[in-house]
Amino acid sequence: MSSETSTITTDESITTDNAGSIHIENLTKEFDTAEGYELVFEDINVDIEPESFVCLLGKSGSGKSTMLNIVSGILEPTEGRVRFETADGTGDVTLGHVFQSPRLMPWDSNLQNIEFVNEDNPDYTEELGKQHLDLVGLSDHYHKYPGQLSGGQRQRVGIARALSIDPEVLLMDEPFSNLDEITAEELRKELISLWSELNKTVFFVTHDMTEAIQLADRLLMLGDGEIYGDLEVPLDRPRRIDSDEFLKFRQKAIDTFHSIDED
Amino acid sequence: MSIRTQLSRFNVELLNGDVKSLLSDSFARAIGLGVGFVLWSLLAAQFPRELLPTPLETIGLAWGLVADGTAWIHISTTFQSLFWAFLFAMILGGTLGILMGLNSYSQNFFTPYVNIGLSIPGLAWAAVAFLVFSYGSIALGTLRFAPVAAATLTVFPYVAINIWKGVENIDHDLLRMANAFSISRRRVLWRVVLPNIAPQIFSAVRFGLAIGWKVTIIAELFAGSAGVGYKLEHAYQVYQYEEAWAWAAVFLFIIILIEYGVFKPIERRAFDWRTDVELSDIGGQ
Repeated sequence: MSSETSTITTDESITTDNAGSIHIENLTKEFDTAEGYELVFEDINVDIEPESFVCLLGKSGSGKSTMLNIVSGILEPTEGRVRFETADGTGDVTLGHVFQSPRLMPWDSNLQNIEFVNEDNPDYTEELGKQHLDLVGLSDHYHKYPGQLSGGQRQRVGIARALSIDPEVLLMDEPFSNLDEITAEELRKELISLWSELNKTVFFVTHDMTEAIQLADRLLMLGDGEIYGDLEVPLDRPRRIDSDEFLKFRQKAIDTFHSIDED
Repeated sequence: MSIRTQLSRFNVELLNGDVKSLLSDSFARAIGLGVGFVLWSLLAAQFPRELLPTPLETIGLAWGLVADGTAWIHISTTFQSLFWAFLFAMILGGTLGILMGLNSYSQNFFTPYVNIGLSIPGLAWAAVAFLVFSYGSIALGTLRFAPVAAATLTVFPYVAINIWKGVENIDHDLLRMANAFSISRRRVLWRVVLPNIAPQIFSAVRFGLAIGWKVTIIAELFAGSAGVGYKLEHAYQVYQYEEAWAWAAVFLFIIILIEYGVFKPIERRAFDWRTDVELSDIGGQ
């Protein structure tokens, strides 16, 4: 695997200047359950700048994935809205999705899986698909099936697929939580390289504090129906998880994360 | 030795293992057929030729039917009935299966019919169809309705249950992925839904044909004026038992031809990705 760790080199045909911003405005979500209405979160307001990397943290059941699904348009909010601003000023955003499990079609090759999501992309060519697989270090695996890859490689295809549609915003739902720690660590480094090279806005959901601090430049903490923690990560990149600064900030973030339990 | 060399060696060994197993499979099959051939010959030696010919005599008689053109006339009649029965069963069973897989109301509504259909033997449908369609005289050209109706009614519950289970077990994560990427319904149908239920469709087709041809022949025994079933019945009525064996041999040959000439190649082509994945299953990499 390490032999396939990519040195990120972006081809000229891969766009690097189209990041969008996300504006979550007065967002409320309730679910209609058998026991009545269940409030997930209420009146949430967040602005996410273009080209930023924001991690949304929360415990299980805090509503992280619900918020991500509303941002992605899969779920409708009860109240409020999510607005996007794009570099071209239209607000017409393309969203790339990376899921917890890669969700690749096992009967299609890796290249065909990428082609599948480019239905509305008139500029898509097989060459572009290959370039995106190159980007995540899978140059030798264009025509292989997902079943022929390891878990980490499959998730790389998932990332390549999301990037292939040239998204202004990349939405990632705990994409490394099913991987072993060594593979996850490798992929985090590659994701940071890709992000700094491609300049996309990334909205990343996780429950892993160390992962969030390694990746993000801003942490949002969701719990009790509100964003109760909003921390800028003041650490230079690359970040070493055993450095004093990292550990000190991690402690601060953990204290903030658990502050909700004390209330 | 590099990892790549080790892996390719591993794959070659795996392939060799596959070839070996294929050879041993073919050998076992040949032995099985050989034993059957010998047993048939021994049994045939105990009876007069007119009652039970030897395998070689049966093949000779069957070849005679093919050579003089008689076989094709009746086989085409049987296959015409089988074709329409199979088509109707796929449409009816497929529609019910899709509806049952999509919502629980349809599932509850149709389940009793499918269960009843599964428990009624083809022979009973053949008898009913024979009565309903006036002793088999209702026809459209050379097509007799009784065999078509009997085979359709026997086969459709098997098709329905296969398609139902296929639709019910569709990978919803893939559908959510397609939804998140705003993929059109048509593309989702062709690229996600159909490949997802292809094994069940294939199984329904294979099973449907296997049951369908048996019921078609049974119905022709009762209600035919042409077809392989009719010729079997006719041979029995005029005490030409060896001809009945010859007709059975002709039909068996065609079924084997369909299995190895049609189904196996389609199966290999449709599911080759599984073979590729199995052959390169080299663990965590």
